[in-house]
Amino acid sequence: MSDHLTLSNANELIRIPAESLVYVASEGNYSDIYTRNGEKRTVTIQLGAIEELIHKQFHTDGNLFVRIGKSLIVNMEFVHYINPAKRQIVLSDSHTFKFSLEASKEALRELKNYFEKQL
Amino acid sequence: MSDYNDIKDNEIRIIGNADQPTETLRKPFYRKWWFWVALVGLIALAVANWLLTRNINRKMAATSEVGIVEKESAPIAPTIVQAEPATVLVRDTSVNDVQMRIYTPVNAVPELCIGYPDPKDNTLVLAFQAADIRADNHEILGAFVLKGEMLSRGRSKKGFCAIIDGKIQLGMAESTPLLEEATEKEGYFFRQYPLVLEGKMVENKPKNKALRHALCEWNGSIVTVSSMEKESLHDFAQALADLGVQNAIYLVGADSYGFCRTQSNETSETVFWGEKKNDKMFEKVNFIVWRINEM
Repeated sequence: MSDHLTLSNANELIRIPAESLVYVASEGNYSDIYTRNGEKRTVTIQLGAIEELIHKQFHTDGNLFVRIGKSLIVNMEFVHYINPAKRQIVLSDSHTFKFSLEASKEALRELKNYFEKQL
Repeated sequence: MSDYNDIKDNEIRIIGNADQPTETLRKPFYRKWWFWVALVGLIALAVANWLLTRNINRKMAATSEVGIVEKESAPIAPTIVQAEPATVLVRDTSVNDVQMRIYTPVNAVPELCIGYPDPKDNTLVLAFQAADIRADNHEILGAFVLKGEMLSRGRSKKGFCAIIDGKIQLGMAESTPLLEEATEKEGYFFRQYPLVLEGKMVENKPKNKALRHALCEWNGSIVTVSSMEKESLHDFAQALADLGVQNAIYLVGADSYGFCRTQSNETSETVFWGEKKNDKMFEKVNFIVWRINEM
């Protein structure tokens, strides 16, 4: 079991600690990876492939992450605010970063339910 | 890989759950808008259907003292030609590319019988299987009256044939006083799919193609009609309507057994179709037959 997400291609290799990975956003055939130090890194890997890597490399620890619709993978540790009506989800560690993202009402409602059930 | 791309924008999926690669949290069906639209639609349809049925039932009740009578033909006496022997006139025709053979029994009266009719019985000139047999209990499907005795009940098929005082009446009804009359007057009664009612084709559920037979009221006479090729029930019924048949119900089709005896001068010829089946399921196999009129 790894505590890093490792992304590799013919030219480079990237390792991102699970606790540093905030979210991944789809950009077509590319994906933008956002880390808690505020960095954004674009990789030539589709979001589905990154989800598969998270699943395979983190195994059950992967359930730290949630796929939201077609466009987002979010680290649930950093979910700070959800407002389905406004289609808004805010990711923050309440200290160093704050990302405000948009997703569908239905998906956010499901995520809200999920967190409520964890109580 | 395709599993990981299989997600909709209104869904979420917790990554890394045990057995499955991922778990999609889909909304329960009762929380989806289309469920409620469909539910409201179904309720509206049910209410409309109930109102419509109630109105029809009220109208029908006004015309009949016994149950719901929809339509039935006037009683039709057998075709009698004086000084001619009992026989069956056979003619072929084609409507809408449906090849058909029309059998007109002459100087013969109809009745029902249980079991395979004996072709050696020279009083019989025409025989067709009448009511269907249920596959589950091998009983006759739908109401069946044999010489006044009710052998089977039920109305799974709306079409009916009543034979009272040797006259045939065809019709389509959930219930009909002719059933009771058949029991009172030692008549006969069976049910089948309605095919034509007052000159208009009646749609039925079976969609497969098979050899088809029908009992028809045509030009004021009772005839039976067989398709020469396998046809859908729809095409066969439409061809009957286009032929000018006023009323018709189905007779058992496919490889059902039957025969017809034609007479010309001193010679007679018997033509058979279908096959006899001897297994237990066909103990209640039943026929409409025409027998020489001895009146």
